[in-house]
This record gives sequence, structure tokens and C-alpha cells, in this order.
Amino acid sequence: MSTSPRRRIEAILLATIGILSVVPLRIFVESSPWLFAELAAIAILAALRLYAGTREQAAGTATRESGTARKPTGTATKPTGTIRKPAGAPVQADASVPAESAATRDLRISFACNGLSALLMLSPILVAIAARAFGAAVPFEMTALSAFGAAALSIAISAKTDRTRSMSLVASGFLVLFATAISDSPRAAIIAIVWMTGCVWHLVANHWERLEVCLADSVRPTVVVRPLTILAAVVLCVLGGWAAHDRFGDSQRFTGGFMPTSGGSKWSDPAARSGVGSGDAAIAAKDHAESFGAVESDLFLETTQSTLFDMFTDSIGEPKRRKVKREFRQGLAPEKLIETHEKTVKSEQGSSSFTTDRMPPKKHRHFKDATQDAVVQWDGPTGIRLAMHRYDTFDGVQWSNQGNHAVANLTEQSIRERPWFFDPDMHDRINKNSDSVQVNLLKVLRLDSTRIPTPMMTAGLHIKDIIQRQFFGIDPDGTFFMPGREKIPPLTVVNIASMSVMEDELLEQVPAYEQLRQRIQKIRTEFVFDRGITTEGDVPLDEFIRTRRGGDHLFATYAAMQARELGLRSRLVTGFYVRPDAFEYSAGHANVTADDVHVWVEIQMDDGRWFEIEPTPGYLEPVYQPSLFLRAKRMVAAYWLHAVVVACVLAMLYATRLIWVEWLLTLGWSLTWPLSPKRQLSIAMRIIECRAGMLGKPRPIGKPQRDWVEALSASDATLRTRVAQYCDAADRVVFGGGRDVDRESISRFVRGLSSTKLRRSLGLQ
Amino acid sequence: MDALLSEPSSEMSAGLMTLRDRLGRVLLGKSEQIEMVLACLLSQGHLLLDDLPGTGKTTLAKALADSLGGRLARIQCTPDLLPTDVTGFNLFNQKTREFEFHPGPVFGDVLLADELNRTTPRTQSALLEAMAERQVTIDAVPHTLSETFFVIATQNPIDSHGAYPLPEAQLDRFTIKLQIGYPDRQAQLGILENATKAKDSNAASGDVVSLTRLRQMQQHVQTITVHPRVREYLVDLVEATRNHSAIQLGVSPRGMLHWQRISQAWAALQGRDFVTPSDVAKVAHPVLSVRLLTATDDVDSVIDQVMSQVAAPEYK
Repeated sequence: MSTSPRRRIEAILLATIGILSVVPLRIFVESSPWLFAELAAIAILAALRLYAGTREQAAGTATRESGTARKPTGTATKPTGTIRKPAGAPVQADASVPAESAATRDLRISFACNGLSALLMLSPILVAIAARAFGAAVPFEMTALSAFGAAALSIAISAKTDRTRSMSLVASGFLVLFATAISDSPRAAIIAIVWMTGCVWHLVANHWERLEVCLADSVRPTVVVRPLTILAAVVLCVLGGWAAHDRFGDSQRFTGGFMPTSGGSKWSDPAARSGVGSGDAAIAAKDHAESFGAVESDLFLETTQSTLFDMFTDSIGEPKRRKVKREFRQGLAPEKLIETHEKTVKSEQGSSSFTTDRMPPKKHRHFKDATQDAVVQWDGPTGIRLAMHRYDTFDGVQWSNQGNHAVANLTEQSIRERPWFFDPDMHDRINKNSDSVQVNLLKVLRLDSTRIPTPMMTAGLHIKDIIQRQFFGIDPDGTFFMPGREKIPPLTVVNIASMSVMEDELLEQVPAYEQLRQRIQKIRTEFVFDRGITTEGDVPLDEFIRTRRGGDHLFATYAAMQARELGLRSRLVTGFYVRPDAFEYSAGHANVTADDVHVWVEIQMDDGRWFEIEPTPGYLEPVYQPSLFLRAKRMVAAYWLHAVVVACVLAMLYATRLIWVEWLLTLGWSLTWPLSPKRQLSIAMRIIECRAGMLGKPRPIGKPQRDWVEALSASDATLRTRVAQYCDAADRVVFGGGRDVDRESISRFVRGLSSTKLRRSLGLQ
Repeated sequence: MDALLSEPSSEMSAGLMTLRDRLGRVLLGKSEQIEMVLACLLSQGHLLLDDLPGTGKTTLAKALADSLGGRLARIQCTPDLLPTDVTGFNLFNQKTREFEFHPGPVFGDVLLADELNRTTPRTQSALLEAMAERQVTIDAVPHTLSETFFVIATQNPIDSHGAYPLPEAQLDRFTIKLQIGYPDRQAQLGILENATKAKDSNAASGDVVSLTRLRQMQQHVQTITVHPRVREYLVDLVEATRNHSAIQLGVSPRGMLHWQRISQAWAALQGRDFVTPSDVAKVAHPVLSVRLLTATDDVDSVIDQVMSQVAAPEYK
């Protein structure tokens, strides 16, 4: 035990610097509560380990001294100067424990020490597992680095020789240098400099004298590499290789990211830090939604932008060319042309209809390293839908829009000096019920449309610095768009305020809501989602109902029809689905790609608002939070019988508490035999106090325990003797430095002052 | 001394049992008070007996003084008593042409100051140095008193006419104040019966504990262990008296020392060589009632309040 307190403290400090050097790497990209939880866990475990260390040393000292002549007080405090805590009092008290139990206690303490050391090393890993379970993932490599630091700290605390301690130095040194090397900030070097200064001081202070007396030829290697160690290392290597041997073939070069969780082209870890393959510009701009500006990159070339129509063609399949039904015709003079025919032609050109009769999508060739092309980026909740087109009329094959929800002049309102433009219908609602409004950000990257993808019940928009209302409008189908331009300018950031709706409102405002839900669930469970299916006949919906297989456009159409059967107004909506796994935590937004085009349904509520439903399996259903009251009502309805039974059981337990608490106390007492005599005495008294507390007459705190139990046993001569025996023993052990205790006499005391006896003594009967 | 340490109970009890018996015969049915008196004696403290007339204060004091070998000095305190009547004085001897010192009653081993509150504060103050430091200074010459110097003072709380209440400085030098109280019925029958018997002069006289023996026992009491937690309990109690709203003057550090010492003595009387929280609590009333200056007259209930506020150390 050649431990020098100063060396130990220095090693601990250096290891702490090592751990801290990882923090700047993590703090800006991770969920900080978990990071701080991890640091707190390390700190607490380290403190516990330090404390256990003092106990261990104290115990070791006490054991050594009890072998020789035990000196009076004061000596035991001498060697325990390593830790700042005053260790005098517990040491004095401990010195009076019998030697046998001291040995077992030493064993316990050293067991606790080792356990704490291991726990300290593993704490970042355990925290990472917990964090991942709770949905806030920590990148693997960061956990690995932190675990490295924790190991350094653990070694520094528990090292008993200088050689072990130097392992801690190596570990923390590596960690600091590595963290500095991968950090982007030039200031990271400060940490490295601090650590090196500390380390140099540590080495100089500890080895200077030895250096002076060392002559070159007198130096002998003190470390003899043991053959056994080498053998163990080799075996470990071979075992590790064997464990991973079947994956050697899988290995490939890094495609882009240095670490798996740095991001990926295909696979995305929840903890991914940035999208590999997104391009430097996107990564450079990832930190703030507003930071998009003109970037020097040809990433967003005009040619890569596609219309929603193209995307649907890619993902769901292109519309079948309808057979031209040849009819007999005859040329007419232009003045006889019917006006409506002109209109139909016009509306087809504007692609304001959506056919359900489609070809299966073509197979695309995807390159493994293809860059993920986000069409829009969404900073907001995931698992939701962003609508772009709505159709309310269905002719059996084609959806089209006949309704007119168009609004040319949106209501303008300045909120915190920013101009917002609201749908007049929703504007009043928003002001009435501002709690249910949430604002999210949408970045339009390469969408060739004037329509703005918006979540359901979107009330208003805001684009920075745009103050004129003619920039925005609402299309006849009810979708926000930017009139008078070809498309939304790329890299525009749109603030979208949308309302959420409670399930209570749906129950109130939608007559057949429960039936609708059941039907949707039925569709979701009984039909199979398959975009690759080819329809043969002219009416795809019939085929869909028969084969129970099809793309989301068929699901949505079928669901819309089902809703209409229930007397509800429904409409088909096309747009994007924000996948839950598309969210990049570090960038703070979700990438919505061309693959994410989707078709779903909206149902109208009695008050005119439209809410969405999701009939397609595999897509998350919209969340309508039930109010607390509704939830409680459902809970009661579902579980009232359980509640009654539980209440009855609890009431019965309470009524019989004296019996089973008494039983538990007796059982508890019988399990105390391995404890030290002092603990047994203390527990015995606790049991009596607990019994009295259960009877409602606890011991007054100012009354010494002896006086109290003596008063309780005054009326019974046998009991008085037992109590006196116990109290004499307890006084001797606790206050008089005695050791020997007869467990039987304590047991007699515990049995004697039973609940029944106490009840009588306390005058409760 | 070693014998005392190794076999404290038996050695101690030999003399003490007789002393207990003797006092028990004099003061019937008051074993608790007698025990407290013995504790006070062993703790080298001074005793203040405070009760109604005729309850046996003086009898007890005399019996105690008689039982200890050594000189008994007695002062009947009256308003015209002078300080020199207590301490002694220097007298010029015409023959030797020198001053001769005539020691006063304080140079006895046991000083019985009867009705102490009947004498003037001036005379009362003459006892201050004697009680605290076991020495008196007369004409700038310090004279050391007996090592076992022990003051038993009595006072009468009811008859305040022509009485001078003891000053706080004086009260603080007493270790305990005892109320003897009326004896119970059984004891009163015994008193009447004893009075009709012929006096056996031998039975109630003669010293049972020699001064040397008493000194040894007092020294032994000093060595009784006080556990750190019990000490903390004492300090907590003392601080509670200082912070209590109904108490104008709490326990002084000297009072605290007295308290610890008499707790040790009490533990020794129980045959133990360490102090328990019960010992501290047991002697709390007599120790505190002599030195607490309270707003109300009901000192006892204030003491009960203080004791119930402070958590006693538990077995752990």
C-alpha cells in the first residue's frame, strides 16, 4: 500500500480533466439532461468510491491495531489522511467491534469498493443504455470515450500502487489527446495544455529524486513481462477474432462517416450526428434552421427539383394512359363549342385531379452512396403528414376538387413584431385557444410547387421579412400556397402555426367517430400495403377490396368512402409523410425525401375543421390526445372492478396492518443474525419503536430509549428484567465501548415487547 | 486507585451502601432524593436544598455531614452575619506581635449553611470563591480549603419576608437544587413511630465514609467515560436552554460541566463506568432548576419542554 495521498489526488484530477475534455464534444449535439445525468452518475459513484476507500483504509488500520496492543483514541486517525474528510469519529467507534466481525466487515467493505469501481467504469455505458431506452440516444463512440474517462477515474481512485496509477494517467492522457484531436474548436487545445501541465508536474514531483540518483547504467528494467500475461493477451485476441470471424467478409471501407453514428446514407442511428452524403453545405447549415443561405454548392440545382406529380409517379406509379374512347365525331364550328368542355381540358392540364388507377412504380437504381435528397426539411414533430393537395370528389377512378375554400386575403397579425398571415376561419380559434397552437419550421429545398406542405389544421404562416399579404393565399382545395410565382423559392424557411385537436373534441364534433375508428382499424389490420401491385381492371378500388392489397392511394380512397358511408364528409389528401426515424437530432430537423410521398384522408368536423386519419398500415396514426378527464373516464370504465378489488385489498391490509407488520418485523429480526452486535441492538430498538409507532404512540424524541422502554415494561416483572438486560447490554455496547452481546437476550427483548404487550402498556386496551 | 478502577461497583458500594442506609433512616421514603444527594457529593458539587420548613432539610444535611469523617462546620445564616464570620479573619496577637489567622467555618470539610437566603448578599458572596475554587483569599493571602469541601445550603422558598434571594452567580455554583417534598403516608407513619422510640445515640452517628475514601471515589467519578454522542446530547440540551423563549438565562459552560460531572457520578452510583443518555436526563431537573432563570414560575414544565425538544442519542 505505497499510496501517497498527493499522487492519488493528482491522478484523480488528471482523470477528471480527461472526462471533462469529452464534454465540449458532446454538450452541443446531445440531449443535455442525459449528459448531465451521466456526469452526475460518475461524480456520485466516484464520491461513494472515495468514501468506501476511507472506510477500507480505516478498517485495515483498525484490524492491524487490534492485533497488537490497542492504544487509546487518536492513533487510528493517523494513516487516513488521504481524504479530506475527517475520519476520526467513525474510526474510534469501529475500533470496538470484535475481531471476527471486523474480518467479515473488511470483506464487505472491499467487496463494496470493487463493486463501486466496476460500476464507475460502466456508468457511461449504463446511462447510454437507459438514455436509448428512453428515446434520447447517445452516440456509441461518445459513450466509449466517456467510459474510457470513467475507467481512468476509477483506476485513479482505487489504485494501490504507483504502477496501477500510471495506467490511469495513460488512459486519461489518451482521452484528452484524442478529444483534442477530433475537436473542431481551436480552444480545445487549452484542455490538453492543462492536462499536460498537470501531468508534467505530477511526473516531476514524483520522480525527480529518483531521476537524480539514477545513473544510466544502474537502471534496470523493473517490469518483467510475465509469460502468463502474454499468454492471456494472445488468448484474448484469438477469442475476440473468433467471436467476430463470420463478419470479416462484411467489412468494407468507410463510405463517408468516420463512425457509424456519424450518419449514413441508408441506415440512420437515432444518435446520428449529421447526414453523411448530405453534402457539406447541408451539414454546414445543419445547426440552425435559419442558417440556410446561398451556399457554394451545386447541390440544389434546378434539375434535381421535382414536382409532387413526378414524385408520385416515382413512388406510387404513373397514371395509366386511359384508352382513348373513340366515338364518332364531327367537326363543329368554334362558336358551338360548349364552355364546360374547355374547362375540363384546362383542369387536366393543371393536374388538379388524382387518379387511383396507376401503374406500379418503376424500379429505380439506387446507388449505395447516393446522397439523400431531402425535398423539404421539417423541424417539428415526426410521424405526421404534410398536405399539398386535397381532392373532395371521386368518380370511381379519379379524384378531383370541386369545393372552393379559396381565400385571397389572409388575416394579418403581428406576433412579437413578426408578420403572420392566418386563415380567417382559423384565426379566431387560434386567439381563443392559444394553448393548442404549435409553431414548427419547414425548409423548402427542392420542391417544384407553389404549394406549401403543411400539417393538418394549419392556421397561419410566417416567412421572415415578408410583410405583404399577397404573397400568400389559400387554394380552392384548402391548401396554403404562394400565388404569382412558379415555385416556392428554394431554401425558404416557413414558420407554420398549426392547431392540435383533443380527442374529446372529435368525440363531440364527429357524430360517428367511434365507428370510424373501428373501420380504420379494420382497414389497417386486414389490408396489406403494397405499392408494387398491378391492377388489371378499370376500377382499381374494386380490385383493392377484393385482393386486400394495394398502395396508400387505394387505402385512402377506400377509407374516404367508408367515412362517407358513415355520413361524414371526407377528402383525399396527398403530400408527404414525415418518418419518425427521419429526424436528425443534431441537426434538429427531419429530412423529408421524395420517397416519403403519401396519400391519406381528412374528415370534416361539425365546426368545419378537417382532421386527418391514417388508414395505411405502416404509417403512424395522428395522435389526438384525450383530456385527463376523458382518460380517467376510460380508465374507470375499463378497470373499475380492479379498482374496487385493489381498494378492498388495501383496506384489508390496512385493517390487519398490526398483524402482518408484526409478522414482517419478526421475520426481519430473525434475518439480522449476521449483523454486528451493535446493529442488532439498534434494530431491536427500532422494531419496538416501529410497533409503538403503529399503535400511534411513538417514542417522544426527547426521551432516552432506555427510559422509554423501562416505562413501558414497568408493570410486568419478567418483562422488566428482560428490558433491563437488553438496556444494560445496549448501553454498554453503544456508550461504554463494550462488545459482548447475547443475541438470545436481545431476542427475548424483541419478543417480550410485542405489539399486544405494548398495546397494554400504552393503555390502549 | 487501580483497585477502584478494576472493581468499581463493589468497592464503591461498600461505603456507599452504609451511607445510603444511614440517610434513608433519617429521611424516610425519599430514596430518590438521597441518591441525588450522593451523586452531588461524588461529583464534588455543592447542594442546595430548597423546600418548605420542617421537611427534613437540615436533618438530612446534618446526617450527611455526620456520616462523613471530617469537620462539620455550620453557619446559621442571619441578616447580621458578616463575611468574616464565614471565611475567617486575621487577628493581631499582642504577645507574638504578629497577625494570626483565625479560620472560619469554610475551612471545615462539610459546610452546612442553613437558611442561606436569610443572610445579606454581602455574606452570601463571601462563599463564591470558596465554592468555585475551594480557596478563600483573606487580606490578599489565598488559603486553600479542604479537598472534599462540600457546601450544603438550605433555603425556604415560602417565607420571603426578610429574605435575600440568592444571586445568579451564587446559584450557578451549586450543582443541584433538591426539593425534598412531603413524605408519603407510609413514611409519615414511620416518622411518628421513630419519634416514640428511645434514641440510640450510637446508631446514627460515627463516620461511615472517610474523607480519603470519599476523595478516591470522587476521583473515580472523574474517570467515568462519556461517549462523544452523549457529550453532543449534553451540548444540544444546553444550547436548547439558551434558545428557549421562556428562559431568560440558560445554562453556562460551568453549569454544563457540573451537569456532565453529576451525570458521571450518577452513572457510577448505578455501578457503570460510562454515562448513558438516561443518566443525563435523570439529573436534568435538579441541575437545571438551580440555574435556569425563567419567565414563569413553573420551572419544571419549562425543563420538561427543553428535554422533550432535544433528541436523545439512540442505540445505533
